[in-house]
Amino acid sequence: MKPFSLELFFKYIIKIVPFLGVTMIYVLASLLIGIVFGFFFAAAKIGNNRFFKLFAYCYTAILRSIPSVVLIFLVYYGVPAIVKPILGVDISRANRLIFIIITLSLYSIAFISEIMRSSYHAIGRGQYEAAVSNGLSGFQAFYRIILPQAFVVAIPNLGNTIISLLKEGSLGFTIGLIDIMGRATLLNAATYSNHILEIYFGLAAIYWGTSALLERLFVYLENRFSLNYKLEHTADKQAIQMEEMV
Amino acid sequence: MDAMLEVKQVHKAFGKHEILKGVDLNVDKGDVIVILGPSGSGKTTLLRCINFLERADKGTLSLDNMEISMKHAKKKEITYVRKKTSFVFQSYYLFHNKTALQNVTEGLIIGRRLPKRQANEIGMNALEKVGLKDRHAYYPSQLSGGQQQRVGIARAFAANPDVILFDEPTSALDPELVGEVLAVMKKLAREGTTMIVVTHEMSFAQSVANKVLFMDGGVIVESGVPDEIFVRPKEERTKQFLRRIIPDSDYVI
Amino acid sequence: MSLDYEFMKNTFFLCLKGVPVALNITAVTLLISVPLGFVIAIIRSNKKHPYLSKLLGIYISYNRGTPMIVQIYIIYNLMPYLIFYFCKRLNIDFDVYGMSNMVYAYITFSLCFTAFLAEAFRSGLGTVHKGQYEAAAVVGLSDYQCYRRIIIPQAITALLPILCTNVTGLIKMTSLAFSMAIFDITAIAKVEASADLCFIEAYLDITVIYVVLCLLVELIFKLIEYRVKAHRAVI
Repeated sequence: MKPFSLELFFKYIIKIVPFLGVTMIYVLASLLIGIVFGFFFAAAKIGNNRFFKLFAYCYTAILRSIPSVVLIFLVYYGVPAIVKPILGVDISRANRLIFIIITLSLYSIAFISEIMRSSYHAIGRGQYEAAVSNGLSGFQAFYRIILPQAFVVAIPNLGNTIISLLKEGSLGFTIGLIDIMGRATLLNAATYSNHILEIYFGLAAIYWGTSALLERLFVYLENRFSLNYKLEHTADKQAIQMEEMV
Repeated sequence: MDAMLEVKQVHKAFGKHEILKGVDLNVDKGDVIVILGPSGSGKTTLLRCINFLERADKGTLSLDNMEISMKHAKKKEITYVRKKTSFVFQSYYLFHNKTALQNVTEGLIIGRRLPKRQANEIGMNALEKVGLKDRHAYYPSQLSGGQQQRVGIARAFAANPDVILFDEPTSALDPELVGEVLAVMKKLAREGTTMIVVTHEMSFAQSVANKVLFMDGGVIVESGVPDEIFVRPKEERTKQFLRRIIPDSDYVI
Repeated sequence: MSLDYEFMKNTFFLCLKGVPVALNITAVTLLISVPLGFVIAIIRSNKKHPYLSKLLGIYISYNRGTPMIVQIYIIYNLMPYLIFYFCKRLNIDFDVYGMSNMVYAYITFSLCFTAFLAEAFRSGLGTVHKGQYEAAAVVGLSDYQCYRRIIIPQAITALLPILCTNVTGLIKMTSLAFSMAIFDITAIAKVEASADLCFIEAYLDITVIYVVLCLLVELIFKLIEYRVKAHRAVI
């Protein structure tokens, strides 16, 4: 039995880390797309239009039930097949990153729309009623009163989502994407699986580290935007008064 | 003299349950109207229908001689009514993410488009009137229930509405805090503010109201000046209700 | 875009053969993870064992922060060495390489899922007011009685939805068992698809299977929730 080489472990980490950039690209891209479109889906779920509501709920229910391996392949083979007859373009040779972003975006729209919907409900109708009774329009009530509060409630869940996207995206290597997972697979093949433990422990360390960092980031964000921050970090109550009067 | 606010034959059902079965209400300027009644009698629903937090099934609302159908009111008409009325909630519903002063000025700056300086001035005066000028920079989570409700009242009258609607303003408060809120409301009443108050606080009704309405089962059973209602109630239902609320010894025959 | 419907129909029934395998892995994992996860959750909420708590925290953090596929690769390659080593040390005669792949699956999934459940149960237990523990203590209930008769019944309403999402997550995780040479739903689909090059059809088939499975699980949990709530309404 071969002993585990610590030196090789670190060497492989250094070899894999440069590809973290690729990983973060698809994580952030799908997060952004999820927030933008998830907003519309959440609005559909909350609103009154039966058709949109049904569509949004069905979409979420179905997407949440599909494993990532399955969805990745479905997108990888399906999207070119759909695009070819419509646009006449063969995109099956396109950068694998695009397919991963599409797949993860489909997921993030489902997750984020659900998060937005539940944090909206968490705020409570009373805030809205007080706002409109006070002369604000529906839109102003939403934008100035509901949204800021819902945003803070949603932050921890958004943090979980981004970590989920990081992990689901790891299956991109099955269609040939060279992110950290793909790089690890290549390195492993190149060394004929002799250093498999060192490589994959290294990879696990990178994922673990990134997840931990992201978690810390979101805890920080939650504190930063919450009311407690405003209360603790304004040195003088007078200072607030000055701010108001100007 | 035409009534300032008139509600005619308002009906409201929730599903199969009819809550309001044809209620009329006349409000003159300077009136302090108290609505009493057991729970489920429709008093809160009536109030909420007036500023369209609930959409009535039937009825008309006249405000300053403008007649509005309560069922088919358009957005412009609803906004018009909401600009001329204010609402104080049982659970205060202060904006959690705004300070006391910001809570009061939010409707002025954003809703009525007053310049910030003017709004802040009005806001500080309002807070002073309710005795909370020194707490203007506090967030609702830092205020007691009574203080929060006082801010809520300040928020309501700062906009200088024609009528202020109070929905059981002291029901959610600890007994020691009820007094401070009632004091503010009495002050407002004495200054001539037009108020419609749904409450269980008999002392308020007896000392400040100039009209008392007793509601039960979705209709107004009896109405009159406080003396008439409390001392010489005519209807049996009114007598039953009062017997439960006021100890017998308070009765003067 | 034309689909090979004949292929789809055939593959669908072939893939269904993988469902018992997936359910098998899910069931065994649940059997192991639910009690373990629960115990860990209690240890972590209790504050009586700070060091153990911290250690478990690290284990949980690792399992929730790394992708399932990486964990599978590590354990699938590491386990044989470890078992071989221990067998040699303890002089046990054990055929490591004859061990079924399913056992690896059980181990990997249990290790990972226990971590998820531990966190989920911890947040569910957190919804019960601290005063309940105090009240149980002064009345004279032992720790076990306290949890069984007071805390858990109250925590169940919060726990059930969390458990539901986690179980559907587990079913989706089983799709990765193909990398351990186990013939589950996804593995069969891959084999069939590469044989006839009908990838879309095969994956559409198993999409349907997975969606139906997950929706069934959600339905079952909804029924359980309904039953639990109906029971409580009597109070």
